[in-house]
Amino acid sequence: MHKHPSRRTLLKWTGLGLLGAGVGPGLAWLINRSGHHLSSAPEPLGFSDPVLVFTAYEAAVLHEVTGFIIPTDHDPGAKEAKVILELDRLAQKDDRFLSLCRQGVRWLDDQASSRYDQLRFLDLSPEQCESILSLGDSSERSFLGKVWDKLYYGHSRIAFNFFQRIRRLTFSIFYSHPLGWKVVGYEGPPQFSGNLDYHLCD
Amino acid sequence: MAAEEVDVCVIGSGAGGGVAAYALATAGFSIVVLEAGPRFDPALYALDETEWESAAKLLKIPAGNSQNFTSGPPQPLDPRYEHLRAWSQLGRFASPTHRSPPQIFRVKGVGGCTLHYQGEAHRFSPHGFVSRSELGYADDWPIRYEDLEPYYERMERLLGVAGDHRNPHKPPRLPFPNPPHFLSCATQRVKQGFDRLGLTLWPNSLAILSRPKGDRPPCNYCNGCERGCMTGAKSSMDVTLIPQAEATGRVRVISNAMARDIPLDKMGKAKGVTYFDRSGVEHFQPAKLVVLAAGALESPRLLLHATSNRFSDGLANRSGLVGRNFMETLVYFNIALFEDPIHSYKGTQIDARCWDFNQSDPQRAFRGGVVFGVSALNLLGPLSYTKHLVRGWGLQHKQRMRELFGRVIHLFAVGEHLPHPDNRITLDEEARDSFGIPLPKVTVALSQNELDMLDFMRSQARAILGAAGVKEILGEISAYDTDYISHMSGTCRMGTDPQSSVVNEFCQSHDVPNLFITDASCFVTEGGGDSPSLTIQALALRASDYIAAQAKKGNL
Ligand SMILES: Cc1cc2nc3c(=O)[nH]c(=O)nc-3n(C[C@H](O)[C@H](O)[C@H](O)COP(=O)(O)OP(=O)(O)OC[C@H]3O[C@@H](n4cnc5c(N)ncnc54)[C@H](O)[C@@H]3O)c2cc1C
Repeated sequence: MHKHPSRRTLLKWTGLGLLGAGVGPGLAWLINRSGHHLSSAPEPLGFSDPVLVFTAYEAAVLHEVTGFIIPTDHDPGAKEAKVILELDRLAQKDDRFLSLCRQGVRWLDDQASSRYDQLRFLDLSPEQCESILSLGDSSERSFLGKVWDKLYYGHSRIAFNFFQRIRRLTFSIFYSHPLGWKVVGYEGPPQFSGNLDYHLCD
Repeated sequence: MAAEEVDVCVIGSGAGGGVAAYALATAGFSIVVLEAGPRFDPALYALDETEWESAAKLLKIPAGNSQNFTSGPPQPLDPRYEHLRAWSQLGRFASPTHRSPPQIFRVKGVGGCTLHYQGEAHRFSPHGFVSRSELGYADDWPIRYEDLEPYYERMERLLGVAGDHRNPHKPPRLPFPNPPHFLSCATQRVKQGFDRLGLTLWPNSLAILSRPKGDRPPCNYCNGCERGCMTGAKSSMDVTLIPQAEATGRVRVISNAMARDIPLDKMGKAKGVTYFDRSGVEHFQPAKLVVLAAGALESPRLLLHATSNRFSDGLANRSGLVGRNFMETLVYFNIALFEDPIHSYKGTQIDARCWDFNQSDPQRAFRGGVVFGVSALNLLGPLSYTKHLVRGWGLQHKQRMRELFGRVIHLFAVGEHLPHPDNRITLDEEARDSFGIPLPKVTVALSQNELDMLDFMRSQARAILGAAGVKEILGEISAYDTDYISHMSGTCRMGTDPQSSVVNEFCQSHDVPNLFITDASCFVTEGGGDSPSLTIQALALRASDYIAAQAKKGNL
């Protein structure tokens, strides 16, 4: 894995660490912006359909996020269903959604930096990724926790909106896909085959 | 250019309006039907698309829930019934102190609420018409079951109702036109609980074809009735009586036509209907007779708004009862998980009912009837499970989806909301629709009788599910703190006395002789928890016969 100078090291170098937590998020953001350019390009997703509006980096992060929302086990997950391509299609039609995704990806990198001294969300361990994603899941977060996020990281709304939207869409896309149906044993849309076996129990 | 006068102008094309248009057209009258909503094309409903469950697709579906009304102050919750608070695995979702404002599910469109109704076609039981004189609560209707029976029968034939006529809790009757549908696997599973408690879960009578009828196919059990039936197996008005009425050549349905007023001539008789078209242009449709069938919310709204020197409190409202006695849907749902795969999303929406408690019983803590039923309701595809049942994300979410999907069913009950004059529709002068017409304002509260009824539903449902061997109860929702209204009635009640009712037993206004109201507004009670549409339709058929007979005699 590509190694980057840690946030703490950078802070030490610049002496800004003394300024404390107040500027932390802003600085982490700056570092991350350049960090993207420094870091190695993510693996291409390797789909035959191209991702059109997201950058390769954004697509890779979002692809990972969908994979955390519906992971692969003995059944396929969101990655196999290529949920990212649908997200890209949506973003082509909806600038606000595109912008929310961009801010969300930035927020994830900010968190990677401020919490784990990594420049990119993609460089974190699965446990670390999950712990950041759960910050966006406000249902898992106490009121005080949310206040803390807001004050310290300044991004709680974006985190919340981003995560909730991506989660909802991932479910919506995955469970509208034959791979998603397979997971739960569903045969597909109600019409036009119907369910003529409705009265038979297994 | 002034429109040509017709014999009858029908306002609304739902359960009541659709039947009136059909019956009057076949009796030879010329008719214009004004329908506030559009005409939907069943071929465009999304039930055959992979993304059929996703919200964007709802646009194509005649989805209801058009919240074009306001509501009065929310009712404070009675803490003695705290145990009735709605809960689910996703947490609490209603206020801990006040009842939620009403949410009314309805469709504006050719076919009205039958577009997304579940096709239940119930006759009210005889006791439903005489609850005051025989059971000591609410009020009597001016008619008896026997008066409506021939019309029930005719309606069942017109709609091709499927059912089993040997229901022990209903009066003896002829066989239904079509055989009953089988019980779904899920219902058979829940039935074990009813059986163990000595209760009867009986095949529902449904206006959903179990055999082909004309060019309409039998049901293929997709369970999507509420999202609009794509095949035409459900006997909604848009695929049954309205096209048949149009085929007579005497009926013109004008969609996107919002009736605003029913002006009167010098003699105090209705002379037609003023309406807005889609672009807000006002028109006048002259008619010799007006049938108002805009539903229990919109009919009183129109009448209350149609004031004149003659009727300063609203048209046909000398009794002061227009808008009063609003009855809502008193419901309780239990969301139940079973161990075995019962593919609960397959079948018809409500394939069985239990009528054991349909008649009020002085031994119980409340007055009024209750009917239990089994339904998947909105749990039809995996996406609905992610929305309503399974929280979180990640592997644990995926695993829980596997555990739950197809194994969850609702055991629910609908009870009789007793009429009370303070539960009412008024006009909200502060809030207007795009035509500038004041919105209807719904003020409704539950009395202790209703709370006791909900309490009964909850304890019975829990007992039934326990006896059925339920694995887990995933949630309970009741009208105690939420207010989901799909059945509503009573706001222009019928009666013999013009002082205490709005229309007579033939749905004719006491005040305006050529104005008839043939929708759920004219109900006196909710008939013990049975579903209303067949009764609305039978009343509309009866009113139409009366109109035809009176017209022949020159009385209208
Ligand atoms: C989800 C759901 C499921 C249901 N399932 C069942 C069931 O299984 N069985 C059952 O018996 N009942 C059921 N019901 C209830 C049933 O659909 C209604 O009680 C019935 O349709 C009411 O008939 P109506 O004629 O009073 O009004 P509606 O059917 O609502 O028709 C009124 C029509 O008038 C139109 N309108 C309103 N205002 C105006 C105006 N100013 N000008 C012109 N047009 C106007 C409306 O657009 C509408 O089309 C269900 C309801 C819902 C919401």
